Amino acid sequence: MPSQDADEFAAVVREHGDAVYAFVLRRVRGDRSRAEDLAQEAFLRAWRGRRTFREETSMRGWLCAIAANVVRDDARRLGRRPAEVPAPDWFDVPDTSADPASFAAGDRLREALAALPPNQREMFLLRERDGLSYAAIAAALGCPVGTVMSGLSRARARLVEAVRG
Amino acid sequence: MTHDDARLLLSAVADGEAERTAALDEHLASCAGCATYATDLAGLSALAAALPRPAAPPSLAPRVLARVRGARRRRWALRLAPALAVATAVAVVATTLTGAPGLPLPPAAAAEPLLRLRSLYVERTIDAPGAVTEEKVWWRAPASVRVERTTVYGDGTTDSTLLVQTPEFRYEYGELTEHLAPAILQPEPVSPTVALLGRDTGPGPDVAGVPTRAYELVVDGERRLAYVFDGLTLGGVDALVLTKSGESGTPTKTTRVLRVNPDLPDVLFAPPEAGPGEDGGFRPRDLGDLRIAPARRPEGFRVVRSGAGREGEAYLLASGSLPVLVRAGGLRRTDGREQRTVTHAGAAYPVAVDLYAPPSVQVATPAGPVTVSAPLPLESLAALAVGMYAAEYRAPSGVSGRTRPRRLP
Repeated sequence: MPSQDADEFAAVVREHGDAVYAFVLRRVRGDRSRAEDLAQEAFLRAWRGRRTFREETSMRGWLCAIAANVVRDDARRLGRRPAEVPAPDWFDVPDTSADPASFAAGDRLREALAALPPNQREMFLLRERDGLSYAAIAAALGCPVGTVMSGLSRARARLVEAVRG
Repeated sequence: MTHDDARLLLSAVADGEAERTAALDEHLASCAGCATYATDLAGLSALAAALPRPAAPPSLAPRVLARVRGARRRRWALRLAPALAVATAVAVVATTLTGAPGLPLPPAAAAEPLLRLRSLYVERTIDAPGAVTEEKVWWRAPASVRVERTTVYGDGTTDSTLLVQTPEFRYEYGELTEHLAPAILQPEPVSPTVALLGRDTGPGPDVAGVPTRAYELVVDGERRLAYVFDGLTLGGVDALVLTKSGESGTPTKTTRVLRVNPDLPDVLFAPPEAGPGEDGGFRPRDLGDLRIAPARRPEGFRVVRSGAGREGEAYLLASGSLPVLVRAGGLRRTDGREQRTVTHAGAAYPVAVDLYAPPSVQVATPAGPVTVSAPLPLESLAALAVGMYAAEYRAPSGVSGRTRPRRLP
């Protein structure tokens, strides 16, 4: 296999590893070891299917879409109900915000995020933290772009309300 | 334009997914609420950017890239990983328990710490004469902890993974050498899974000129034959040949070399200091109301940890001369896994046999079903579980034959 391909793919893994891992982690409800296994599988599937990636689309969205399939397949294989309801992923990550004011606001944001409908939460995180376009979010979550737009707007309305305190 | 329309559009504009329109500007000029909302959105965005995000484990990228670069050579190894797990997953105490009061347990592993490692295998997959393409290191520990490290040679790419797996928790650590300290190695003559679950069918064929014994093993409905060298010893080269009759009817076959490597430093052989309390999503939790504390405990048995697992289940992790894991709730149903029952003192109990963990048995208590796992033969496991919960135990009625486990009242 061309080693140039492999080098390019190495850069992809480094660039998107955290995002894909976090995406998977939310879907396996915080099982970190399983998340790593599945994130690995997602990247390998992406590698095998790299010819099907369309340059004009978002790499991260494409990877997340593959990861969602990997998680679903794994859940099916294990006979579990597929984790269609992603969990928040920050429950075991220490918040290092130094500023008490932003700490409190961050706290309120986390609470409000946890209370959001899971799909809206996922849209919000993919947009705000992973920088995915609406099309990429739609691809990752398997829903229409219009749903992403309205879901994000509803999520934000609730979050703004909550953060105001 | 309604407020809702304005806010929908503001959200999309903030994301660069829509253009600002004159209608929106008009609305904002006349609606203080929506104008404030536009500012709030920017603040929200900044807050969201500061949300902590878990980083991928450092091992993820090397693992992916090792597979990408070694994909062709490693095909066999990947396919056979589960078979290897069979040989390593179930821990070691095979002595039959008596169900007598006091529950004496075999002395073999007495007073061993829960995570003390017992033995080490280095497995090499060789697909061309003289070329080592993969090396896996497996530890075996009394808690059926599994530690794996894979190294890929050939193109200079290495893939270092350390995985500690207990029946219910899996922990990931970083570099192999960082967390491990001295422990005792004990050579084991036969894979404990083979010893526990396999049927010795007599001499097997010679492998590489060395005689073997054949064991028949049925796992997940698949029949496997394991040919094991007699007298696996530290420092020796030993072979395990597995043949598996697959669904297609075409037997697949491989030969692998197990080498117990004497050259690894002692520092590699102790458990990580961070235990389940700090890792693997295990959260300490008071079990007082969960009623899974046993009425009687096996001799020397103490509670090592109790808490809630990643799905909120209650656990009691105990170690005496062997590890016992108690979980509130019944057996879990998983596809493709054979569900059986075992008979003890005239009553039948549902059991589950798992490739990657010791067997589990379900007993009933007034507070509900409890699942007990320990590396024991099924009959001994049932005796242990019934012994632990004897005071509370009510014999299930109508459980016989291959009845599926049910939720007990």
